[in-house]
Amino acid sequence: MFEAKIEAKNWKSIISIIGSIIEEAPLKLTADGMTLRAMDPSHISLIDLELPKDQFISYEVGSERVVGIDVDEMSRVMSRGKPTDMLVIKVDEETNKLFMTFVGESTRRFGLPIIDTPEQSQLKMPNFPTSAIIGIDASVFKDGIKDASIVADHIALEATADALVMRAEGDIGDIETRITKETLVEFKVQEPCKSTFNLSYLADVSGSITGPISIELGMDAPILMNFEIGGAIIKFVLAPRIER
Amino acid sequence: MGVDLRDIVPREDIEFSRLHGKILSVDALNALYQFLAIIRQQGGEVLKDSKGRTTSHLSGLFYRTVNLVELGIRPLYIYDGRPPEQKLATLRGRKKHKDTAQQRAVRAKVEGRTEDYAKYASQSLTFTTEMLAESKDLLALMGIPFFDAPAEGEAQAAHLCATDPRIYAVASQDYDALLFGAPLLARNVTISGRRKLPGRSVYREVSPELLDLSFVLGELGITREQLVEVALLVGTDYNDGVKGLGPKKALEAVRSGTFDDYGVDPSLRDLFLAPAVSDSVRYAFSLPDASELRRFLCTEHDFSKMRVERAVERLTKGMEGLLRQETLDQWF
Repeated sequence: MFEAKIEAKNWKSIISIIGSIIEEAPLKLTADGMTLRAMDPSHISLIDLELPKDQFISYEVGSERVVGIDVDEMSRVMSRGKPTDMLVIKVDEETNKLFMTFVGESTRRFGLPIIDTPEQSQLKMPNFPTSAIIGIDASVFKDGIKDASIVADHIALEATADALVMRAEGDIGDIETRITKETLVEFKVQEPCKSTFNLSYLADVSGSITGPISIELGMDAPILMNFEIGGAIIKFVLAPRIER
Repeated sequence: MGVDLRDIVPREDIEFSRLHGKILSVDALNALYQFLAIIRQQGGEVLKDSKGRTTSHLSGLFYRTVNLVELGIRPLYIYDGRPPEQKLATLRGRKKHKDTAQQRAVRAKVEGRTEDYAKYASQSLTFTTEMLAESKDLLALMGIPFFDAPAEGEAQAAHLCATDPRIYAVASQDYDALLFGAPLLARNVTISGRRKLPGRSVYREVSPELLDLSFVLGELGITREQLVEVALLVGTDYNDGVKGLGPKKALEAVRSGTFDDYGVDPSLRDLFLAPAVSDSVRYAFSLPDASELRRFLCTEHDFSKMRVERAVERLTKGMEGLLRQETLDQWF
């Protein structure tokens, strides 16, 4: 059995961030909370999510299990939630459904089928060298991403001795955002480094982040972004583009 | 051609962005026939180069593939090999139909009936060995892979989609890919944003749609074997089907377990369930050979230099983006 209660708006933002990467999500329900680790079908990005038990208002789980959810369908359901609604998530073993009940002025229960998702339980976290850890406010990072989108479909993130530089170059021009270490939340650069990334992935993922983001960068290596959304601790990894 | 299951299979309208970053196995002949049928001069004639060779299929293949790559979609084209014995009768029938259409087209042209000419001319389309070879030459220059299936291209495309995790969906207009076991079928991918309705000078907007085999089977409440039986009752490339039995009635019949009563040869099922396919398909995408492409299209086949130039640029840029993106696989 599984039954948990959470603020609907928190669950909504969690589903929205998952949906920016994968369409079908294998959610693991454990005694300590929910976890998810999955790569997108092209293996370009990975999401690792942990929603600890204490982020729920109530949380009851029987034996550990994985439930596959259709993220698009669930987002559609979540868009029906009201800002002050509570959400009760319940696994119905008999019908193999996930019952999503909004508790507010009325009680509205949606039943969603539990789907088969590819087995990703063996999926490890990728391992790569990083030489810079940079803490940045989401709004500053998002501005850099949006600016870059005007001229290009990719962006170079560079950690210099004293700043984070976001640079994009395209046919119509180029754009550079420089954020010096004094204005950053955290700044640890062992060695200057630079990698280039696809903008659409970064834009999709950063879109719904509001708090600080901790970014780990390497030389022509993936980017690791650590942040929190709706009480969930999320790691997002994106493979770089090769620059010649 | 293929089986007509339009009325019974659920589908989802999607945006092209959904296919971004994906590799599709494309039924090459299915796409080429559409290009040949749709891409016409005013008055209904196929495009031809100065030596009189048909180029409608090359034009479609080139510009459509460039558009796909620009959308971040990589097509792997699968060509037909030797058709199964059971298809030969169908092919002979089609040949006869095409010969008749050809004669009617000639007459319509002589008599100045333009609309009839366009109709019959599009019914009389055939591919010569040379036209197919040219289309493969073009793909090679574009850096786009293709594969010659041992038998049905559609079966091979479906097999790849089911067994190669890199391939997201089969792209074809025919529903046969589902019968061949393709987990996902994408329709309206290789045709452009608008499409002429058959027999009329009316265009309608088309957007891609996605058909998920397990969802289709779940909605219909049948197995893939049963879907094949429905198709056989309706009529496929391998048999005529039962007269008066449309998809809905055929579905009812299969659900009620009366397939055997219609006298359809049950061994035909295996043509869909266990078709001849290859397991050693290797493919790679690469940057286009820009100068050779220009020579092939403009010098050899009289394409517009300016248009080709722009398209080659878009192709190179799109492919660069796709090839430059690394995956996470090497970091585990």
